[in-house]
Amino acid sequence: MTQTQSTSNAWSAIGGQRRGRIIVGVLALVIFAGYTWQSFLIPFGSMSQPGAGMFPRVVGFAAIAISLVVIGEGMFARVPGEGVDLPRGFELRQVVLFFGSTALFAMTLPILGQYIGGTLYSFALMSFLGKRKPGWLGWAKLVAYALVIGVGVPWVFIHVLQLDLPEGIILPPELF
Amino acid sequence: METIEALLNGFSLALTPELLLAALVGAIAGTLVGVLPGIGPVAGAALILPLTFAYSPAVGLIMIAGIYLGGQYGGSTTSVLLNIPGEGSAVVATFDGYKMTQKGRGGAALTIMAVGSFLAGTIALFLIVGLAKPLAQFGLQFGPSEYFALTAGGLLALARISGGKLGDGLLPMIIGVALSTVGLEAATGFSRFTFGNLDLTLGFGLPAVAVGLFGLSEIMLMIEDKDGSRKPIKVRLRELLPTRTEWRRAVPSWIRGSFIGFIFGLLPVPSATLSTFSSYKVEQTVSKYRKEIGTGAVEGIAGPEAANNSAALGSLVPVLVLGLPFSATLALMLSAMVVQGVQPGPLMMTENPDLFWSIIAAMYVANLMLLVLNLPLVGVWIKVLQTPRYILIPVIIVIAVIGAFSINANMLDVAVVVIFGVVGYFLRKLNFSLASLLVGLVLGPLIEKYFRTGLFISGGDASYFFTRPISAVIWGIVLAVLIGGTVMRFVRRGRDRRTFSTETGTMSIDADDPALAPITTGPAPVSGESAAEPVPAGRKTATSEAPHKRTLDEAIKDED
Repeated sequence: MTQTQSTSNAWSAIGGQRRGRIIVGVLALVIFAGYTWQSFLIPFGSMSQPGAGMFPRVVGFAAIAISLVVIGEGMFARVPGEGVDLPRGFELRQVVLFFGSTALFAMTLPILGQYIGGTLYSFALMSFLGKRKPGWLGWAKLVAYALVIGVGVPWVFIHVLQLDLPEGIILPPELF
Repeated sequence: METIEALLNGFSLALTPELLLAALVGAIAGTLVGVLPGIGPVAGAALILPLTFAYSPAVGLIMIAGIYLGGQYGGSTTSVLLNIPGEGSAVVATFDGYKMTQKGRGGAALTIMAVGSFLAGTIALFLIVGLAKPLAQFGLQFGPSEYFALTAGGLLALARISGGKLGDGLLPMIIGVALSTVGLEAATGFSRFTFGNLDLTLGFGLPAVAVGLFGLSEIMLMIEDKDGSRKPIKVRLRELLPTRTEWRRAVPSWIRGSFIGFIFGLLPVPSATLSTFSSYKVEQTVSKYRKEIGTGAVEGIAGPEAANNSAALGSLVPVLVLGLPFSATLALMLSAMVVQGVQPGPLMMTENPDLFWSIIAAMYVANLMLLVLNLPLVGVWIKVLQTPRYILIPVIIVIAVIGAFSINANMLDVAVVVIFGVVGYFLRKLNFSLASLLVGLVLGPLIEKYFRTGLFISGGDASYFFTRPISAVIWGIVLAVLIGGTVMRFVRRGRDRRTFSTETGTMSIDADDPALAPITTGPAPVSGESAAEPVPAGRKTATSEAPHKRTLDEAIKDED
């Protein structure tokens, strides 16, 4: 079995609107069951003197009911479910790389700071998103673009619009 | 008379350099986010929101309003030039707008859109002047019961209309409302669902959630789009001028569309999208040239585009007069008002008339700017469209992270962007409506406030919310909306079953009606090639087989 086929099978396991809705409905049900349980730990007050817990409790029960509706729609829909247009192969790799690098950027921001983090992130993103696309810039231009996006854009926000951005622990704070 | 004087005063304020600049920046930024793939008006407004807190309330609100209007225009530009609607309300512009481009009349289509939007803005302005005061006076009769009915009922109606199936709108809506309960509770200061995390006491920031849901998720969808390298057809300046016949044919459609759009703007529905589809249907019914609609007719673009713009202005009325937003962008506007210490509602007109009328006047000025700037700038927008996506994406993400972080200087907001990016991606894949999540997040605290105040006033009698005359009427309408869709579906299913031919397996729907048929918004042919054929209406096509087919339901879900 090729890699693409196995990826395709993995997606088809959760493919289909029906199955997707059931999964989302069950996830929502579990989360909202926890939410409702938590809402019972907040003071309820009385009907004439409602406390902070009354509204969340109403929301919690409504959310559980709606989650069951979504599960029911998945299980008992009369029209056969359409497929879920999930990415495969190269596109899947691109989406996963994009999300992974964005998550990494967000996690390392307190350490690297906006300038370094933004530059590295822009460079990485442009490298894997653009390499197989027409109009590829070449590495030298890519570094220049990454510096403009990672340093130039935040510089405008920091020095012109006077915004506070993550400083990190590498560069001196005077730069921010 | 008094209202007209107030409006004129609003214009004198809107024409100050500061507010003119705000309207200009908003209009240009809005068009840019409308044109750019992966960043619609909601994400655009969310990005600008934290930057506006440094300025006066009028500047911030006008910039957001300018983005709203500019976004509608920019979204339709890509519909006409590329057959790619920038957002839900621009889907209808692909029907005849792109056909006009293929006929070499793309420039004229853009001018008809821009002039129509300006005219619609003018008509909407007169309607606002006429309606704002009576509506505000009517709003003064509202107590917690009526406001609860409007906020909770309006949210339910919006969620129902936004989604195809019952759960499509309701699940995101309740997620939004539940998220709004996280953090310090306003009345008692009790910390809810924070699990001891101090960062969470501030709750989930609307801009961070909006950027994640609408911005990051859209970019993930964009990355997997194999047809992202489409090239727009070039439009020369001299091609922008419509012929005399085209002008003549556009006028009645503009007027009809303006009134339709304004009415939709006042309702708790995805007004921009629904108004464009309704206007298109009206044109198909009443236009003198109705047989040409769908083949690149002026009426098919003039009416819906006017409706779109008029709805945008009309939808400001419930926000400013009642404090109720019924779209994600307007939810951001309300959020900006609250942060700036402005209390929207019936008293805003009397307590803050300068701000109220300067926003209305500035919307009109922004409209004028869009007309004056966008047509000569069409070449610039085409250049923007030609920028490789792999360069645009890091720019958008870096700005998104800056915007999210700068609200509270809190890393949690950056994490929220990433988390809601994934949530939005999967909810979109499963056809859930995201706008109701954002509106739920904004209206949640208001619903809770009116709920608790109502219980205090009534001494714990829950019937208070349903028995007062105005609230009873509102709940009646909401009930009709909630049940009406299901009833209509049963009626339609019965009718379809009767007309369904088991021999041919086709349904008796007018196959030439683009407003009913799924439309092709996918791979657009480059100049010289023939357009991709729409799938014949009534044929059930699985998404996996035809990933680029979009229906009204999908367009409504896309509305920001």
